[in-house]
Amino acid sequence: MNHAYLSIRQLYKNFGDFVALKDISLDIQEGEFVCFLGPSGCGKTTLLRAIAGLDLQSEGEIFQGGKNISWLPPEKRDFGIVFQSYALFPNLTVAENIAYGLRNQRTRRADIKNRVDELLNVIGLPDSGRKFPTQLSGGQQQRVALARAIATKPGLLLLDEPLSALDARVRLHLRQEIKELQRKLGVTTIMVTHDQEEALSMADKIVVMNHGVIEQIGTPEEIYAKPATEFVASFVGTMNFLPAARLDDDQVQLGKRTLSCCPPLHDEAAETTAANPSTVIKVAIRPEDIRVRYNGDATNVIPADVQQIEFLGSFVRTELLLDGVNEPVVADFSMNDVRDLDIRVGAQLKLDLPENRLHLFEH
Amino acid sequence: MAIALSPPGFLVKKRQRQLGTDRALQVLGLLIGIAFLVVTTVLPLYAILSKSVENKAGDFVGLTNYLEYIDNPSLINSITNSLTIAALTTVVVISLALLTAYALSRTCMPFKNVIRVLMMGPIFAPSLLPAISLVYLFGNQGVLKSWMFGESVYGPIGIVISLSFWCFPHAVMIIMTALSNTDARLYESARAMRTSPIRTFFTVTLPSIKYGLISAGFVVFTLTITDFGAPKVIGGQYNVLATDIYKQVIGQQNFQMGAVVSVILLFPAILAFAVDRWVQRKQVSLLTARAEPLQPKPNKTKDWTMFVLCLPVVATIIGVLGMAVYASLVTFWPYNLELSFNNYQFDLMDGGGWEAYYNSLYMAGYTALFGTAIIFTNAYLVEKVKGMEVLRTMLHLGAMIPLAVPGLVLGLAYIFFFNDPNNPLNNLYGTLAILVICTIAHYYTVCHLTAVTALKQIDPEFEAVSASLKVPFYVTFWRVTLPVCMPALLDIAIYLFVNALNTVSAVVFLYSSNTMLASVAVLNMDDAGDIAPAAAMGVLLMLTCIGVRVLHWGLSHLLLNRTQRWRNTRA
Ligand SMILES: Nc1ncnc2c1ncn2[C@@H]1O[C@H](COP(=O)(O)OP(=O)(O)OP(=O)(O)O)[C@@H](O)[C@H]1O
Ligand SMILES: [Mg+2]
Repeated sequence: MNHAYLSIRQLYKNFGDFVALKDISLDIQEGEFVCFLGPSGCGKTTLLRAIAGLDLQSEGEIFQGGKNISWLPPEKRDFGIVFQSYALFPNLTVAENIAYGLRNQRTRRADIKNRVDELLNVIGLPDSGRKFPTQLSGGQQQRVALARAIATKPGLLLLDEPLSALDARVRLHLRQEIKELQRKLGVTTIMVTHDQEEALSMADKIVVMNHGVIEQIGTPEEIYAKPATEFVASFVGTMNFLPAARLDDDQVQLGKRTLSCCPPLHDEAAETTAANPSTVIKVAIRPEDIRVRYNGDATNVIPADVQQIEFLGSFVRTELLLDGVNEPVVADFSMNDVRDLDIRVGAQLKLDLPENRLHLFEH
Repeated sequence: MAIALSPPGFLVKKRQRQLGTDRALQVLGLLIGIAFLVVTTVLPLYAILSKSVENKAGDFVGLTNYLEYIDNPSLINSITNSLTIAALTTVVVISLALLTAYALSRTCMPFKNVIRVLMMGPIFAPSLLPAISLVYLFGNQGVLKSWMFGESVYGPIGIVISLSFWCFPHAVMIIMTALSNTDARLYESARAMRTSPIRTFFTVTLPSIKYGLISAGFVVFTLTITDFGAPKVIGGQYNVLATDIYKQVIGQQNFQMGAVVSVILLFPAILAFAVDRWVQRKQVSLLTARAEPLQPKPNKTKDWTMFVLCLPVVATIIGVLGMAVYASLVTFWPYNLELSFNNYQFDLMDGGGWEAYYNSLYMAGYTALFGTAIIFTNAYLVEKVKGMEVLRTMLHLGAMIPLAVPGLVLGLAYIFFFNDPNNPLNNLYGTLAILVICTIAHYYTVCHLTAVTALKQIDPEFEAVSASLKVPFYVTFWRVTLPVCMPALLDIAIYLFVNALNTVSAVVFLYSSNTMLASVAVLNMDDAGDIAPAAAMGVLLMLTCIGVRVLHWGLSHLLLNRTQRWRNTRA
């Protein structure tokens, strides 16, 4: 085996004829915070439950700490888990909930009490030990669930959409807390989410999934800046997609114009297109990568008409028509740009689509 | 292309899930649960089926017994009689129950709460009691005999009235549930469109409780067609299927013919069962819609009209139950109307004496205790174990069978199965244990469904969480699931207790001289002409049930306060 703490090899899961997971292979290093990100129904929960042993995979193997755990029942594995519903035991107090797994380990009574107090402090609820879960707010309950999961010091922490039942403000706050706690404890953590912002802000590594397959694995920066597939590009952040034709390795044709582009093309795409020039492809660029101010280093300058402007606080989002392109393009400009260049509906701009910011995708 | 080169996942040899202790225990539990249901329902039913195609010597004779049955006009007549009684009773009960349930849930009529409690009265007595009471009211020496206009109460009239009385609370409860599940917004729109109240009733109310009505109808139909107490006491010469079974078995010792009639009695019960299942499925989909609860608003005319309409029903319930109590206290009807407790000196009469009453208490107590434990554990395994679909489905389906089996049929089936000298469980025969087992099996399904409903309401991830904390599932079952489901457990226990105390049909074939039961004593004393003591025993059973019910009510309040503190402590 390799040095990964958790290693998943060619995992498949079928529900009858339906393939929920297909050929999932993944390595997670010790202490890493990994997010499974994807739209609803893509198989995130299924994968998480397979790792936990709650619903076994149909095929494939899982190694944790070098040990093959593929077919072990959940109680023989080493993990703590937190669910979206909290799943706190309603008839037990907060302290009893946190102590639930400790009691079973034949820990001494006093030690249990110390550990519970310590954890109550960690989650910032030092005085709530004697309350019942229903007496706490949603965010507090989720913290208790987290404390219960880490009480037994598991090697792996699994979080299934732990924040999605909470309101926006609590969510933002708890996001940081979880991340901080994870860093402090150094526990390898997998969090399932369909919220890209959550994944981008918390994860060391993001696994983007769609229809039961992994689309891309990478750091938040990689996922955002170098999306491997069209799905990743459209799912994470905002992206303009424009139909274009491929001319050669570093040139594409958009409308009547030729754009230069860097060819860190994804290998697969490169192979086919190189052999087959002028293939129809998609050129993609993020709204914030379109430049309206540049000093001589412009690579692809195109005139554009401003169609619409939406004020979004610190920046404006504009809808533009590029010269010779039918699809509207969205671009974000800072308030400074808007003021200095007098950007308004009907204005004519000369925009730069920097070659190193262009993404090319197979059609 | 790349995929084809990697080792294809489907060819990798699949390894079995390793069996943990938890898993092994769960499999064991499921197997025990299935074995319990097989032994207590499936095998006895098989025994009765095979008995119906055997001759007295035990040889297989095909359908000979059935042909003999068809050729016997007095027997075949009972089918028509049973259907007539069941149909009439269903119509009477459903119309009255609809009226009452509507008044209770949709109006602010005066004395609503008192009436609501009174309506439940008949449920606490065996079906024999209203029949006995009718004898006192309209029988040969009845106080209100003149009301019968020369007709005899012994026969279809008496049976229909007694059974209507006895089934009434069941129907009211089902229809009230249906009425309370209606969306208030529908009524608001009807009002906004100036729909007349009558038209609203037919276009909004009726359609929305359609399934409740169907369900109530079939419950009443089944209760009626399978009941044996009322026709036995007040049926006179009017034979129905249930009394036929009893006569064939007890009177003529013709077990084969008893088995044949039992199999025939299974048909309407199975039909009702199928319809009920279908309705339940329909109703679930209705309930998932987000609905606004309906709060009745005071309306003088409507409230008083409904009150007046309900009065006859209230008067009947008070009259019939009151008559039974009065009759049990009268020293010697109709010659000495002085009140005394003479009729309660059961030890001075044939029929089992006070011993029978104590036996009944033990039997009902054990049934409630063991029944609740077994049924809830099995429901837990069905609902909360992961995987093992086949075993769980088998257990769940097995739990549904008893609903389709009339008590009398089950009792007879137990004779055939447990009295067989080749059966290793043979020594159970004649003990209190077999009465307990039979009663648990008889009332299994309703309790199972109650337990499943309660279990469905708790978080599905408790078992996953405890597995991750390495706490065995049975610890979580004990520390969390049981306490959280305590109200449902108490409901199941009280249901089993009340039914075990009052049941006649299932146990009438199974009691022995040592295990005489009070409900059977009512039957036997009535049979022997000791009607007043029979009434007294019936009243005693009813008072016991009411007492236990009150105790249950107090206990659940206490328990709720102690162990369910978390329920009321919303921040
Ligand atoms: N027990 C099951 N039987 C059949 N299909 C199932 C079962 N569990 C999940 N699926 C299917 O598998 C797919 C993946 O489900 P999963 O719960 O993993 O999605 P998810 O990515 O967690 O989605 P969400 O964000 O909605 O939680 C879904 O299409 C779902 O319908
Ligand atoms: Mg999910």
